Amino acid sequence: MLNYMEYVARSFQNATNWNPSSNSYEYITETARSLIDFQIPDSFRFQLSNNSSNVSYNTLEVTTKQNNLQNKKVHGFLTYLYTNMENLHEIILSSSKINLQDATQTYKHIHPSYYKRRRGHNYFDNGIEKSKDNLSLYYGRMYYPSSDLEAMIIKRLNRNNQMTLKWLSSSAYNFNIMTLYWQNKSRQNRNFQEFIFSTNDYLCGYRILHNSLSTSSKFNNSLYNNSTLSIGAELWLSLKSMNPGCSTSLRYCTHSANTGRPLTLTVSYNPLFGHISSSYSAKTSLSSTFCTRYDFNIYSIESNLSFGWEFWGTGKQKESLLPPNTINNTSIVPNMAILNNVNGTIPNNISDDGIILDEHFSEGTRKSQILPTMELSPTTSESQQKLLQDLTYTFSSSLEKIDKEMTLIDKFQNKFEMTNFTSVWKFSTSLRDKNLKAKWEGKFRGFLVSIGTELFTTTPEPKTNSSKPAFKHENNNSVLPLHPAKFGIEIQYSS
Amino acid sequence: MQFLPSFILSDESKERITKVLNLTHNLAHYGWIPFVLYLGWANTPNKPNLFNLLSPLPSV
Repeated sequence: MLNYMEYVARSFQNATNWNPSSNSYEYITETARSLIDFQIPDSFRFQLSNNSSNVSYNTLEVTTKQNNLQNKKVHGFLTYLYTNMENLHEIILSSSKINLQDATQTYKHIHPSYYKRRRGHNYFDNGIEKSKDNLSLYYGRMYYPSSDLEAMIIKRLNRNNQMTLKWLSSSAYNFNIMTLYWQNKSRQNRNFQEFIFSTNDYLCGYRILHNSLSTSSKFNNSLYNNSTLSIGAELWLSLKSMNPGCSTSLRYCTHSANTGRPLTLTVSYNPLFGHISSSYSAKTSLSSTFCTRYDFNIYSIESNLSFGWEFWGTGKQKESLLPPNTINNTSIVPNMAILNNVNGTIPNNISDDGIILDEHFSEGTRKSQILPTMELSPTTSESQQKLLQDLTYTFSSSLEKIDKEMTLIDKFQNKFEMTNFTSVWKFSTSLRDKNLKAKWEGKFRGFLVSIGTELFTTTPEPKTNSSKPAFKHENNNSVLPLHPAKFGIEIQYSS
Repeated sequence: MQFLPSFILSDESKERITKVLNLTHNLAHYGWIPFVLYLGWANTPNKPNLFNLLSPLPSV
């Protein structure tokens, strides 16, 4: 379950067309992590959040747990957030209204080319242009009773550059770490670069992710490609201890052409540790997701196979349309008319209409527009027109196929976002760790509730030669193959 | 090389610098959240009550 402040910060980044979860190398394996490595709460945790004014948000968290470091039974934190993006509060939904899909960490469909706008429609889609001031976000979290501080500033310098400063401070332990991120993306979201410097060990880092949005698919015999290939790498060097670090990853996202369901494949390699990790994640149906990951180390020859499942439970179907922040993902329905109208005239105001398509679709759409726009030209002779008509006829089946596939993909995406999910079961298991993680997340009377447990297999204890008769509960280990290592409940309420 | 000794700080100066740095750290540490709150208060047109900004309870 996402924290309220994580949700606000994520909405801020999406609203400013930054969208690091699709573009940043840090999140390249996010889907597999959220399906397999999801967090299990280990205590009772209650979060109360409020949007106190148009520009400020706050959260109080109370956790009850006997912590080894601080022998306090009750601890937690207070968080305050300020952003100068005035319209953000309109897309931040309370816990009773929020979509469960947005509140939980789940299969993340990648939209590397997030940048699209519609005139007079999604002002927040275009927030960076409409706002004259540089958009920024200030965040502070004070833990009690230890009074440790976490601070963060996100400052959007211009459309393609963003600066983030994170600060961790503890007056009790005289602990002071600052990390500075400078992020840069190219105009078409092809490259996303990050330069990082941390005062902890004077760590310097560089990350890059390249989204190669290929042109028309040859194998599919289509004029557009619904897949994205992303390649990224990271390099780290500690200036104090001169310790290096690096890794490289590849991500391939596509949709099933027949069903429109998305799937993601990733491969990561760390040459220094010799670790290879590959994952396959797919939405197997509207209400289920499956993920598998295989880890292998070429030096120690150790391997691990992990699985993750998600099952969504539905409530009543929504009557109203999507919340504003999901409108971004509804792609290109208005443009279907253009493709369908192959032999007809194309409106000249496609680009003026303010609709910029996903890069996935733009290549094909551009090509599909070539023939009809040439047809409109008054200078073409009759023979040329006939040739064009023949060409149009030849390509009409391909265009219809594009239309069909795009509609399928779009339909599936819309249906997932429109469905009023009320609960989700998450399971994850690892063959090497021999554990089973189970988590239930759902909405209950305006509260977001998350209950989870992690079970481990127990090793059978050797039998003692004691003459005492063994009580039944002493033999529990042999009766129950799994014992709980973690159990917790998390409740969130936001208004 | 005669000017070098003037750059070597005395123990008093070192202590003073440490004190100033600690004070700055404490000021930033405890002043950050009031600063975030002030930004929220100053940039809200109707200047809400401080209690409203501080409290995570839903406002009536």
